[in-house]
Amino acid sequence: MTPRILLDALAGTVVGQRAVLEGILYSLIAGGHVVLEGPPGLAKTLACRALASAVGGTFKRVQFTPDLLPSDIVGTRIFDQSTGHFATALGPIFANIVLADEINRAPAKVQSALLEGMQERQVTIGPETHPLPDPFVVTATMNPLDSEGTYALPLAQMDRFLVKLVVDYPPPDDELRILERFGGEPPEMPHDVVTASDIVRWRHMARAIFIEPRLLRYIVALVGATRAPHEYIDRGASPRATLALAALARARALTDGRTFVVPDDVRASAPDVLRHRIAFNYRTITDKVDSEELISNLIGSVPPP
Amino acid sequence: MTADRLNVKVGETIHLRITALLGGHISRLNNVTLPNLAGFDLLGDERSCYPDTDGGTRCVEAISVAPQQTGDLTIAPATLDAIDARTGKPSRFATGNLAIKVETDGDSWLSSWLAALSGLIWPLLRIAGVVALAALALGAIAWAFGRPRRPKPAPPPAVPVAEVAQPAPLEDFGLLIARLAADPTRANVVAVREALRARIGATPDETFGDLLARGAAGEDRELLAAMSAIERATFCEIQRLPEAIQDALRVLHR
Repeated sequence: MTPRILLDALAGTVVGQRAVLEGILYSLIAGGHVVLEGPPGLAKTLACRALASAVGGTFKRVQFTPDLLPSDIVGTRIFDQSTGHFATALGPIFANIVLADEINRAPAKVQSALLEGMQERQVTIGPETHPLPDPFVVTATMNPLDSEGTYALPLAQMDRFLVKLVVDYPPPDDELRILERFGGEPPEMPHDVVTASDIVRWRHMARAIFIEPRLLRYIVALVGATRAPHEYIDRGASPRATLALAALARARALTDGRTFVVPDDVRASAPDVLRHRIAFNYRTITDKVDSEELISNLIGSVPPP
Repeated sequence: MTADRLNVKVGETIHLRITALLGGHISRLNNVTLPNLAGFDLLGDERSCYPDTDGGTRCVEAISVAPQQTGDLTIAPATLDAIDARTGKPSRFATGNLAIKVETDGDSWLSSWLAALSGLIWPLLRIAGVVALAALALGAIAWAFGRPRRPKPAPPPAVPVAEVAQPAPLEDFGLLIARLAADPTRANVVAVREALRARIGATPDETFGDLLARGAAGEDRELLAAMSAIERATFCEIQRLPEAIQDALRVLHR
């Protein structure tokens, strides 16, 4: 059983958005969490549902709103009158795939509750600590269009996400296929294509993927390029980005059936790893500079080995 | 921009307050350019943002300063770069000027006497400073013209960002392959890879994927196989290196 099978199964349900599906799969293999940024109606939820169904795991969706409480995410303790004891009601975070829809619509304390679980892979409710299921992947969505009434995630919290994937409108051919496929019956989900133990096995295999020393230096140089003085950048990516870039490149190599990373793996993974970890300054807005183009230029400025 | 007092004495503390009312939730404000505070000692500043009653955010910059000279001092406007909610366009917002009247401590005859004395001494000191600077400048010019001239260092050669490497002659390429066969090390693989990339006109920023995408090998399947084998030998695990090199050599010898 190879990761490619899971990717093909997802592509059978979600029309187009190949790069997004690949990004989600690579993050799943690398053991990281994903932020999906794109306007509504671009199959972000469908992709997450399809992934959970294909992995044969549990899926929970939480719609983030301004009145959400941390206990709505992690769970709470309820007094049971019949026994006279407190019982713990686990929240929706206890699932293999958790979709945090519009994560920036909830206040910081709720975001922190989720992000703490993402980092620690366990949740403490009252006196008890509960481990989260394995695999555990959070896919958070953010809508870039309606920023009114949102609570932007600080850079330190965004850093917890392994990748940020940009979901864009499909080309006309893909949109025509969407119309043909989803015009009538609800989309058919891939069922139990792989198991949770397959994912755990892929993670072990990915960690053993070899990265040649010159490529390691290339990874460091790429992340370092974001920290060089730049008129549009206030702060570059952290060493966590360096680790994330290596992990994602390994996942990409594994999916491609290789036991070693090549420069293409690193360069192709770099935008997804870097775009949410760079603090662009105000001048990118006033000068109408495209941050994606800036990142692309930064990556292009470092020659691959 | 407001101040708690507009008439002060030299050395007394004034508290300036710059308030910005913004739409939406903002945790901090980084785009405020503070005014030039020439003539004042900056004692401290503090920036805070909190939700306003109308659903927006109120950001306040509190600055404590102490004037160091007498007279009518004007504090220039503070500016804020932000998106204008009315037009949706980036704009620069500015506060008004702030005029502060600074007096000497008139209660003490000693302080007024010292002020008068300093008014006399400062012009003299300034003249002396100008004379000293002029003498220094003349000395430097004399020294520069008097010493023997050295040739100017040549400017460093400009390095093109994506220069195409010159292809190695065929005999050199053969030599590199022979060296790889005799000494199958990673360094020799890298040398063959560089020569092969140069032969197909690869630029330093092009990866193997880029070369495939632009069809650098054309219809030549042997060249494509050679590129692929060399790429594998360049980046594979050290345990698999001998096998990868043998594979690459088999393709290269064809």
